[in-house]
This record gives sequence, C-alpha cells and structure tokens, in this order.
Amino acid sequence: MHFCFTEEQEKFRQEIVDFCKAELQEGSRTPDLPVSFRRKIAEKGWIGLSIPKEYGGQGLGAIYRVIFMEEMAYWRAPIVAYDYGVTMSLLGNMCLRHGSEAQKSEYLPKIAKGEIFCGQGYSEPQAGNDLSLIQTTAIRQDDHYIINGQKMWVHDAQTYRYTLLMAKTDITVPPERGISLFIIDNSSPGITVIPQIAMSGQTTPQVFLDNVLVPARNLLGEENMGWEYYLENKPFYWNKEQGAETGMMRRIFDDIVRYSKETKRNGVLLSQSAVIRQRLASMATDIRALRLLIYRMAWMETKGFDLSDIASLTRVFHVEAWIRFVNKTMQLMGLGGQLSRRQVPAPLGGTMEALYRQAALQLMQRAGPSYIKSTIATHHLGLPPAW
Amino acid sequence: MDYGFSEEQKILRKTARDFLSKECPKAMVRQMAEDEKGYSPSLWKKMAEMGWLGLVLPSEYGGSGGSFLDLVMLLEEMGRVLLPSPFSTTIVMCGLYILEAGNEQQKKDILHKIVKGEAILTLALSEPDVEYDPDSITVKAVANSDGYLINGNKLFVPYAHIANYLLCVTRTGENIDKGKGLTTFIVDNSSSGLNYTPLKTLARDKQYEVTFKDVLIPEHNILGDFDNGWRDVERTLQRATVALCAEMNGGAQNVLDMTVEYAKQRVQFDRPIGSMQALQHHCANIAVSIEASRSATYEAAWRIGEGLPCSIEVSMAKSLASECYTQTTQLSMLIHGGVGYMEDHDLPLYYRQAKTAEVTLGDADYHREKIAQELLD
Amino acid sequence: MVNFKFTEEQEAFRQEIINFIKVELSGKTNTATVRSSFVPKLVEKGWLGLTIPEEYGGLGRDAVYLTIFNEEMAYHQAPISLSLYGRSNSVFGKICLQHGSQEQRQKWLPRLAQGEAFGQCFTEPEAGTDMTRIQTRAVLQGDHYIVNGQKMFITTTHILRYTLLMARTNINAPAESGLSMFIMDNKSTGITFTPLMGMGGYRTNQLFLDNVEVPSENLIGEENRGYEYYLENKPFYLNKEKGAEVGALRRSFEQLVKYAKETTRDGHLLANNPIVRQRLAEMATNIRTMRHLTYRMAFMEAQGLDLFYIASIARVFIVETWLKFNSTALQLLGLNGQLQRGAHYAPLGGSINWHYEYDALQYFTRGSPSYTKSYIAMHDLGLPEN
Repeated sequence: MHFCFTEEQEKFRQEIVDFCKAELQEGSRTPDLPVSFRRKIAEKGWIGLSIPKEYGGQGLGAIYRVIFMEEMAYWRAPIVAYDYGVTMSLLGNMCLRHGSEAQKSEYLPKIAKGEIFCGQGYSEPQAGNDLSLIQTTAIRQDDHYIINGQKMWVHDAQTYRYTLLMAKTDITVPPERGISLFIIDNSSPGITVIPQIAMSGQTTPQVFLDNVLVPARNLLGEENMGWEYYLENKPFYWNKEQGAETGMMRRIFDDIVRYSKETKRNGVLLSQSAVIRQRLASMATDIRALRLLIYRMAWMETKGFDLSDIASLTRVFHVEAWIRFVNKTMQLMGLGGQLSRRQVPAPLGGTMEALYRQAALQLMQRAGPSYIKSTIATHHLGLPPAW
Repeated sequence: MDYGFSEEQKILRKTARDFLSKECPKAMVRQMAEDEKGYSPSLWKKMAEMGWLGLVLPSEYGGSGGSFLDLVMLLEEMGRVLLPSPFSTTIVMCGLYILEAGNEQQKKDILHKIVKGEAILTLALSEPDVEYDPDSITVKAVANSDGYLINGNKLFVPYAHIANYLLCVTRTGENIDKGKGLTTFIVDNSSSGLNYTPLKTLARDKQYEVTFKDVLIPEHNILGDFDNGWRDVERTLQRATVALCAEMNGGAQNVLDMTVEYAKQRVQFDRPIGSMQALQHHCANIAVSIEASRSATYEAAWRIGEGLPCSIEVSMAKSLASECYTQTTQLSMLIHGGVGYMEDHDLPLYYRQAKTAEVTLGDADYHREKIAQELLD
Repeated sequence: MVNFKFTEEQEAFRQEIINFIKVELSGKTNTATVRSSFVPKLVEKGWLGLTIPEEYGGLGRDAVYLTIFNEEMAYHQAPISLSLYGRSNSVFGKICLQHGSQEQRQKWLPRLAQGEAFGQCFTEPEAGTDMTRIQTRAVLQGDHYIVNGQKMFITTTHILRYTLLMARTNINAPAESGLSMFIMDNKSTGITFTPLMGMGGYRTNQLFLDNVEVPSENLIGEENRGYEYYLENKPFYLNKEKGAEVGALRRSFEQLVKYAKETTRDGHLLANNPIVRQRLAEMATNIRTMRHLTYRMAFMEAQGLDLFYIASIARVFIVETWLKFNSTALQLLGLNGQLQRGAHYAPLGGSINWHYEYDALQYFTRGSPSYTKSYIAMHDLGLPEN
C-alpha cells in the first residue's frame, strides 16, 4: 500500500498544471478562451485519457483521468467537467462495454477529440430515483425504432449532440426486463427541448419525443438489457466528475486560507480566530478524506474491482462533505458571503454565493444521499430491504 | 497510488483475526479489568512467539523489520477484540522511541528483551494539569553527583505497575523555545522512590498515577538529547496516535458488524428493525465514517513508515477516528436498545473504550488546532 | 397570549420548594438516614400527590406545578427518585385516574398521594418498542386471572409492591386488540425474578410469571382495551420526569462552567479556551430550549390540550440534548474525564463520567428517538406511513 503517485503520474499532473498556468493567466479569460482552450486540451489527448488507443484515446488508467479532472477544476479551467464526465461515463463507458464495433468506431474517437457530448435521458416526471416507472416506449418497425415519451433533467439536450435514452421495448414483462438503451441524436425530428431554470442558475431541459425515428443500429447492446447496463454503470455515473469535486474544494480552500490570513473581522485576523481555525481544519480533513476515497476508487477501477460499494460510500461522503464545506465557507465569509459574483466587495469574487445555491442540487442529483444510504445499507451491509 | 494490501499483510491480518478470536474472548477482556496485572502473561508469551512483539523492530534485535503499516493492521485486529495488553505502550510508545533515539547500549539492552517478551515498557508524560503540552510539564530532573533526581507526579501512565522500564519525560531546563528544556529518562522499575496508584477509569483499563520521590537515575539512562527530548517525544506521540487510530477503527468496525447483525434479526412491528430506513441510514452513516477514518489512518501510517512529514495526516486521522468511534458506539446503543445496555453484552465495553480513546492523545478539537497550525501559521 | 413568565402563585410554589430543600438538606451529607427521612417529609407536604385530584387525597394541582417540583428537586439534587415517582404518576396514576373504576381510584390513588410508588410491567423479550408483541397470558378463572409469561427490563420489581401489568386476554383478536391492564402484587406466588445489570450500576430485572393469581377486581378499565390505554398514555409516559431532566442538566452545566473557570489545562484556563466557550454556549442554548419545551408542554397539559405532537417533539429534543451534553461534557473534561467517581482527580466528583454510562439508557428507553421521529413524521407532519 502506498499513497503517492508514480513518476509518470506526477509528470502528467505537472504538465496539466503548467498548461493551465500558461493558458489561464490574468487577463486571458476572454470570451473566446473556452473554445480555444477546449480545442487545445482535445489536441493534447486529455479528453480520451481512458479510451483505448485503438479508438483514438490514450489508453491510460482511471487515475490519469482523475488527475486531469482535479487539476482542471483547481485551475478553474473554462471547461465544464460535467460535460466530459457525463459523456465519458455514459456513452463512453457503455460503448466500451456493450457497444458494437461500429458504435465504438463511431463515437469513441469523437468523444476523445471532444467533438461530441452526450447526456442522460432516463428520468421522467413520475420516475426519479425509481426508473422502473418510466413510460417512454420504443417500438421496433423494420430497421427503426419509433420512440414516444417525455424525459426530464436531460442535461444538456439543448447543446449536446446526443442523449443516451432509456425506453421500454417490451411492455409485456416486468419493467426491469423490458428496458433498452438508445443513442439518440438530439436533432432528430420529433424531439422538442424545453429548458427549465434551476435555483443553481443552470438550465435543465425537459425533452418531448413524438414519434421519433431512431435507426436500429443506435440500440446500445442488446434489446431489453438496458436495465442491467444501467445498474452496472451506476458507480461510474455517480462518480463521473471524480477528481473535479476535490480539485474545486482544494481551490476554494486555498483561496479561503489566503482570505483568512489577510482579512480582519472585529479587529482580529480570521486565521487567528480559534473557531475559524477549527472549521478550516475540518474542511482540510474532509478534503483529504474525500481525495483518499476518490483515488482509491480510481485505483480499484484500474484493477477491475467491483465499484458499487466504494462508489456509494464515496458519493455519500462527497455530498455531505461538500454541503459542510459550502456551509462553513459561507459562514466564514460573514455578511460578505451573500454577495454574488462581480459585486465589488464580494469576497472570493462572489463565487461562494452561487456554489451555495448549487449545493442543494447535490442533495438530489444522481440519487440523493438518502437513497444511496439505503443502497449502502442493503447492498454493502446486507440489511433487509426497507419497507 | 496503491490501495492494495500485500499477500503477507493479508496473511498477517487473517492469522491475527483467527488467533485473537480464540485467545481474546470477551470473558478474558472482562477478567483483565479485575485482574491485578491487566494482561495475560501467557498470551504475551504467545504473541512473542508469533513474532508480533518484534514485528517492526530490526532483525539485529531479533525483530522482523516489518513496516509501520503492518503494525497498523495488527493493531486494527487488536482493537476489534479490545485486547487488553501493553502491546502499543511497549512497542509503539517505547520500543520505537528507543530504536530511534537510543544509543547502541540502550538499544542492545532493551530491544532484544522486548522482542522476546521479557520487557514491558511505558511512557510517563501527562501530569495532573498537563495533557500533551511540553511547556507545561513540571516533573523535574535535577542533576547531582550520582546522576539525576526525579521528583513529581505523572498521571495516566498505562501499565506502570508491571512495566520493567518507564520512559519519563522531565523538565531539566528552561523552555526558552517551545518544547525545549525537556529530557527523557529510562527509569528502571526497581529504582527506589517510585510509587504507583491505580486509577479508576471509564474503560476499566490499567492506568496509573506514578509518584517520583527523589528517584535517582544514572546519566547513561538519558534517552536521546539532553534538554531537547521533545522532538523525539513528538514523533513518538505521532506514532502512538496512529496506532490508537488503528485500534479505534478496528473497534468501530466490529461495533458496526455487531449492530448490523442485530438489526437483521431483531423483529418489531412484524419486520426486522434493519429494514427501517432510519436505522439503515444510521448504519450507512457509520460505514461511510469508518471508511473515511480508515483511509486517513492508512495514509498517516504509510507516511510514518516512509519517514515523511506527517503532522497534518496524523491529526486528520485522529480527529476523524475520535468522532467516528464514539458516534458509532452511540448509534449502536440506540439501535440495540435494552440488550446493548446490559453489562453482559459486548457493547458497553466498546462504548466506554470509544469515549476513552476519543480524548487519549488529543481529541478532535486539539488535533484540528494542530492542523490549523500547519496550514495557517 | 404568549407569556414567558410564571404566575405569582407558581413562583411562590417554586420558592417554597427551594426553601424546603434548603432547610432539609443544607449542611447534610447524602447519608442513608437523610435519604430515608426525606420522602416522608415530601409526603407530609402532599407533594408526591401534586397532580392527584383532591378527592383522592392529592393536591389537585396541574402539570406546571409538577414540572416546577421536578425541576427544583433535580436541580438541588434532592434524594428522591424522580424517575420512579414520575413513572408511577404518569403511567399507573394517569391510567387509574382515566380508566379505573371509582373503587379502584378510591383504593389506589390515595396511596400514590401518600408516597407509595407503582411500577410498570409491560416489556417482554420480544416486545420492546412494539407492545403488540406481548405474549404473557391472563386467563380468567372464577374471580381471578391466571397469569403466565415472561417480562423483561422491569426495573421496580425488587423495590415496589404493586405494578401495572399488561397481558394478553384474547389470543383470537388482532394483536393490538387483545391486551388488558392489571394491578399486580409483586409478592404474589409464582413471581420470580433475576437481576440484570446495566451500565453505571443500573439495576433491572427479568421476570417469570408462573400461574400468578391476579384478582379480577384488579383489571383496570375494560378487558382487551389495554393497548388503547397504553397509546393514549404515551405522551405522559414519554415525559414522565417532566422538569427533572431540565433541573439535572442545569445543575450539571453550572458545575461544568465552574470547573472550566477554575481549571487549568496545559497552562491555560479552560474557560478561556474559545472552543470550550463555543461548546458551553451551545449547551446553554439547548438547555434553555429544553426548558421552554418542557414548560410549554406542561402548560398545554394543564389546559387539557392534545399532547401527542409536543410530547414527541419534546422527548426527542430532550433526549438528544441530554445525551449530547453528556458526550460533549465528558470530552471537554479531557483525560481527567476518564476518572470515575471516587478517584482522586475526577472532575465534578466523577459525575459526568458516571452519567455517560448510566444515561445511555436514554438512547432507547421509552422508544428510541428513531421511532419517535418516525412517529412525528407520520402523525404530526402527515407523511405517509412507513
């Protein structure tokens, strides 16, 4: 057992750090930075880190992917880790495991080049945590499926090219045995996307599918195996931004430490207040523990171990640590913490206010902690199913 | 990054678990609370034969030169069963201290004996109003023609009454700088002027008040640097803290296992209580907390083994373990109900041990302040 | 109209109790003689029958008075088991009053007022939180019920003469519709018990009932309605020591503050440690809130209002505050906190140390907080049944 990275991994991390420092200097954050930045990281091959070489990726293990996400988040790179994370953990991962050769050759290289993004089309108004309640249907007709239904929380059907859609292909059997997964082109006729704004400020589209024709070759894997693929993929999906959350927390923490060492409140430097020291130490401990769990999961992924238990434990720890973290940071910043971005006296550039609002999302997204705790209890600890 | 255990480590853990489940049933734990010595000499001998006492000591002293991580695994197993023994005190607090800071003669004299099970050692540090702060230590060692005279009271000295040697941290000079002016002496228990008073403690363990009255120690029993012993003591405390964390994590895991077992079979309202979501969440929370605690302990242990700076990691591990173990026992009490409260059940033993361990070698607040010092000052 | 002041009368009553305690206890050590003479003096004052109607020999006062009594007795560490009398009054006393026949009320309630305590004999190995699982049988035979079965965690068998028994009188009805309540004499032939020891020296018993004869006139209320009476009684039972927890915690807290102001650790006064200060402030806030909830509940009881919501809420808050106090206080006492009562350096005489063990009972007694919270969720907040 050892808790340090290999020389190659350290070099890789340094490469990313140097790149970020060079590209993201003061004054470099112009409106066209995001596009050029994303192009550059795609050129470096950093998007397809864990895609096998024969499909245009780097063929590196999960640890590299996590390092990449961590540093991108730490340096506040103008990428949305989520975009890459969701695409890789859904389309990427499932293609690798269950896709046909044609699908692998079609999608994986494009994912590796950052050319396409794919979101999740599972939830429906009546089906949140319990996806067996979905009603969207996919009826086979010659070499097409005709899809009808309604999906919610399909991020981001407005801008992504693809959605991985869960639909019922057999309504005569119990739900879990009649579900299939499809790779849907979001520009297909019959798809209507209606955006909704969440408290976090993010848009989260609702998608209506009205007799949408999907080529049969866009079925992922086998018909009626979708539920199994979904379950197997859960750990990867839950932890798709593995690394990004730690990077973000580390960055905010370093900023907060600096802030505490420079800011006085009521005549006393924040960093000298015993209570604030306790809170900062707690935050540092949470970050460390989370980081240890995240890298352990990445290590387990490279070894091919089953990830369900570690993913659940890590996810719960992450969400609760993040909520604690955000609460403490807001408290620490006192009255100034309420000020939003770009307001002049806002501490830390007013980022915390937005993050605090977004934090609530963590309590319900990707199956909230309550649901996952029940999974931990029954799956990991062996307690009887809840009533 | 490698989170895997080696084959040897896996064997060590399995052997330890099997051995201890046989040799350390709860009846033995309870008996030791009443027993005058507080540990089983015959079990100690067996542990020596298993090579446990020399696990982390070099082969030149008869040990097997294992890593600190190996030791941590063993300690987890000991914590699981609440083994009452001077193992950690002797090997971690004192054996490794002597290995690191002792001169050749001291190492030769004592380390062999430890490995063979012929010497038990303990550390005398805390005092009535002093826990772990070097600058507050009052027990004095004053030079005279024959050596040094030690006077004063030490408190919470584990197994003092049966220790062959006590490592006593004394004030020999001014604390012109933080931690300065302290010297550690190896006190032979046959020295005159030593008095031991047993302390009645929550965990019913063997902790003593040791009174030093003109205890004469020869100069060659100074351990490490004169007037500058705190540096070594600090490292000793770091090792001892991580060792304690390992025991705490083992204990917490056992309590979780016990609680889950009970929740599966206890039926109320026509269902096993373990099917109630609230209880499921309690158990899940404990599981998450133990994972976090254990991860931090392993990292700290690895860093100690590698000789890397580890002050932050040690404090992170202890702050997590302190809160994890007590909360685990408290939730377990809630879930077990009446049966877990009865003295003939195992839970009270863990409940008391967890609370003791929470504050031993610094509670979570103390360690968070240490983390803050590293980060902010 | 919300008013956080006590009436003049209530204040006078509180002062009367304080004066009484000062006269009877100050300067005296807690010897057996002092203890054994204290309760009779309370009886003389009529205070053990505070809430029993005057027609049965009590003082006919309301729950607020009882709360004041409990609070001050606990605060001044008076040598009386408020838990024992509390249970006796809220369970046996209330149920007898509500459902006993006139003869039963006239026979038993005056005895309560005279300081005799009555126990509670419900729990069984399979029936803890779920009382519908009671299996002890009571079969009517002539003018007696013959009782057979086993009871568990019965704390008062070895110290009280009479107890309130819950047993099954109808095995053909649904579980919750076949239970009845009886007044049972602990000295009856056929009752044997073995002691069970809990933490901190807590003593309880396991009971075996072997063809025990219970006179049929000792049936309380109607046959087979026992579980109904039990549920209706729950709010009173949940907070049987109303006020005592507050008084006891207030006292412990003050001792802790005093200790912090006098004790140096590692060269610094504990009371100057910012973290200690934060914790003490939190404790003070919670104890204050606990007190508010307690008196609000007493006020509502005095007004005859429905108590189910407030009793559950109060119980959860009180238990959590109480347990958190013990845990945090013991942590603040550091290494010395480990020292038990009687040990030389034990802070506060080792009382917090002992409480940490003894009070662990509160994690589950009268229903675990988890259960009570589910109850609050379903019955008070209207969430669907679990």
